[in-house]
Amino acid sequence: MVSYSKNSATNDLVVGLLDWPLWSRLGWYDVVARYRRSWVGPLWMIATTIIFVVSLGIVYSVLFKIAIKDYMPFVALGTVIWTYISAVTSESLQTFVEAEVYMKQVNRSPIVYCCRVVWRNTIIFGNQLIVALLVAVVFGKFSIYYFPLAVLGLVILIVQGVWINILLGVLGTRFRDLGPLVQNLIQICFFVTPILWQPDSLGSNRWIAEINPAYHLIQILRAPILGQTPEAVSYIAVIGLTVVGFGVAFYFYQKFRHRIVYWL
Amino acid sequence: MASVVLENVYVDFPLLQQDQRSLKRLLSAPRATSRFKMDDSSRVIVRGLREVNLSLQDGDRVGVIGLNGAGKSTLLRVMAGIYPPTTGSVAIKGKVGALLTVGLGLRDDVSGFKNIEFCLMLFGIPPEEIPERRAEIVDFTNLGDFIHLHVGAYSAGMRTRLAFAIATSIDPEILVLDEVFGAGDSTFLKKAQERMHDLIHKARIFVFASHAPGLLEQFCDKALFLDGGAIQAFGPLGEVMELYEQTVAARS
Repeated sequence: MVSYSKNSATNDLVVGLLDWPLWSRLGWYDVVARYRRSWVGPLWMIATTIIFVVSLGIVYSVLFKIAIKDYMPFVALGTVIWTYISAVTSESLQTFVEAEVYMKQVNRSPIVYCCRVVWRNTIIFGNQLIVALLVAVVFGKFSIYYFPLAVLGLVILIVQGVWINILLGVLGTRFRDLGPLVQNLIQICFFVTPILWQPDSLGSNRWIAEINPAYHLIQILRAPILGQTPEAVSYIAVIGLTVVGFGVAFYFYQKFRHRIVYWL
Repeated sequence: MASVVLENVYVDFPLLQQDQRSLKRLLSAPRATSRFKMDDSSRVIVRGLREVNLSLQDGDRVGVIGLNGAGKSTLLRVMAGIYPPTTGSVAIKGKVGALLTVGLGLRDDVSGFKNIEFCLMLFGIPPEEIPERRAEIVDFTNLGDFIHLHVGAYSAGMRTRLAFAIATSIDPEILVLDEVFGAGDSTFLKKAQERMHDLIHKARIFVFASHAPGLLEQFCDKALFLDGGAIQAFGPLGEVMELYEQTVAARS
């Protein structure tokens, strides 16, 4: 039943999310396609993480004069979480563009394609997170004391991908030159967010980290895994981010969802 | 009871890639029939469909005719729920199946077997019906062991056969068919034709965009003549075809 007056953005969202058999396959096939015919296959996801984390860990622990057993788990978790956020963000611009063949031939909720991008990045993130957890275990920093909080943090983190994808998916379809801009912002964000460095090293200027939502997003997963209590302010910031993010994404989506196919 | 009701439907395509300035200069010349227009915020648009009013009921078999760029595919896509109209309303009762291109959704990097499952899902077939339909498709394609090989390794003919079998395994109440949806090699052709005819006869409403008078006569009893995005005529096939041929002859 197709009736444009009755269907709505909310309906798209519900139908799209419930269509997990479709988006989970789309996402999985994307991962398969990406690593097809490479002889170590999906191990590349893990290998690149190990190489990155180990080299950074060694050099920067000397640079910042922090014991390697403290620094390595910190940087491993930080970079892996960041990789998820940045990958979802940059790929989200292409969400509908890469789904053009589907969108022009079959009538499905566009949210399916958003979930696909989030899902394929979640799969890759899951693999890389195992590396980070192993690093934490090896250096004796892994803690299960805050396990429920870590799970909560993980869920909140992954869910952010959904609104980022809807919002940037719509904007990226209309404005194809957003790519370089977003890439640039992601790169800047990587350096100003406490991923390689610890917020304490800001001294009395700690607010620089505190006002950065990306810091809190990383913190709600990194802190509990390393056995530290995440601060309440992090949860407040992240809940605020989620509400505002979904609000803005929903606004843009319901305003432009009928235009998306015409912009392809 | 299936039905398709279009009321005062307009479809405008925004021109996002083109050089807007030179197009605007073009528009400043007085050309009343031009399909290029400017919208409220003076962006250049192409009018795909204008003032389309149409009501189809059970048993309607309609051939959509018109020159290239007349809006045939656009109209089909509106009926399939792909293009939401810019203004006007579309009300469709019944399950719509649209065959617009061959090979939709086929992924090179997974096996034919898995592709069948995936494509059926994409077409909105309920998961519980998939195994049965898949068995039927595997049987029809006659691909043997190739069905378990990734589709990237298929020959063009094998690929078409698989794509055709998947696409035609739907059983819509309203079938929307574009003529560009052709099919396979000659040995396969007869089998494919039978399957296609079967699908067409089962549909309650059939809408077919084509240039081939023979096919139109075989499957349709009504015709819709589109010109410049607007309906020129809608009625019995013979009359509308005649009008269409006269118009084409007058223009060339």
